[in-house]
Amino acid sequence: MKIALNSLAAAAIAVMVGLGSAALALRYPIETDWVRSGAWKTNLEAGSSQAGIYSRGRIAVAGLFALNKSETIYFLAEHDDDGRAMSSRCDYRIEGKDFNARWWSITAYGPTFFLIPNQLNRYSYNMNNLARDAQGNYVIRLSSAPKDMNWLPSGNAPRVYLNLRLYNPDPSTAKDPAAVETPRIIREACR
Amino acid sequence: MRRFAGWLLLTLALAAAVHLVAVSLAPRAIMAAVFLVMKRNGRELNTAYHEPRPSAERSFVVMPSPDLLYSVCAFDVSETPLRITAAVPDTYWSISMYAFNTDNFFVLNDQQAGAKEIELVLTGPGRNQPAPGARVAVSPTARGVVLFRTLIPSENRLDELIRIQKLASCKPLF
Repeated sequence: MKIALNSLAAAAIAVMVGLGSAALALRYPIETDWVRSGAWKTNLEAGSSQAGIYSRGRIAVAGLFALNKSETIYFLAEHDDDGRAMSSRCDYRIEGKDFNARWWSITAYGPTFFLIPNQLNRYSYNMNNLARDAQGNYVIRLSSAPKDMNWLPSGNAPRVYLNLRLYNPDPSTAKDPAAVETPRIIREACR
Repeated sequence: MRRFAGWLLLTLALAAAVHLVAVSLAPRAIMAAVFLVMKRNGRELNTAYHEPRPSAERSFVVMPSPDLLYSVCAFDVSETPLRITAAVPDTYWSISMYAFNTDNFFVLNDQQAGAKEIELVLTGPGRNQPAPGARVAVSPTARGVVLFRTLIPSENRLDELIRIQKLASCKPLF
């Protein structure tokens, strides 16, 4: 009787620990699969049949139906340049320039990886609709409060993520994503 | 003490096994959930559905791109291959196919299509060429998802691109 009870308790604890640690591993993965550039990171195994179980699981959770890297490279930013998690409590300047890709865009997401509700229905900026300076550089203003130019609303999101998509990157970019000069993410005022 | 250590080791080994199985099965479980949601919404397999432009209120997938129009076709080719047709616009467009474990096993974009219209046949694992001469994609699993993406390069082209998006179709070959 005692052995049966111990076995049951061990099995219950094992299932809880196993499932809990699996959920954590998929939500907060070990970084070995990722290539970093500034505050941004990309998983080169997205959509690949060569992906390991953790990469495949993570992509399924946070980026189901991602394209493989020859078609699109996805850079994800979870933090600003100083490593602080982003939220709508703070304003951010996203400073950058063009990329060697056929098309690119930067989109903001809330804590569940869905688009952030806002009155303008403005969820992203892309290479065609950004206001730029004379040198072609741009500054996107990620904020819950209206800004004059390139305002990307962060609504009321306790966590904000940014996704930079490079569609049909040129071969050198696809070969070495770490060399991509990703935008800086500078935190400004917080409320 | 030794008995306790034995139980602890057994529990940890079992927990590790549960962990690995859960991580391995997560993509299939998520894909199964996609199929279940589509079924609950009255959507049939082997049929293309044209999604409205993603917004905060409506999106069928996590991390959608608001610059894209998506059409989706959940397939089951265990009985018959699928015939897939689409119109190809003069902007970024792609058709991508995902196995039931979420692997992206096929992609074709507008530049690779090289024509204003495309037609291809999607068949399951281990099947013979079902339509001689046709462009064929072979899924490693019987079930999966076909996704069409159409880029909206400017807002004033939205209506035109929605018309083109809706020309995409998935139908059983036989």
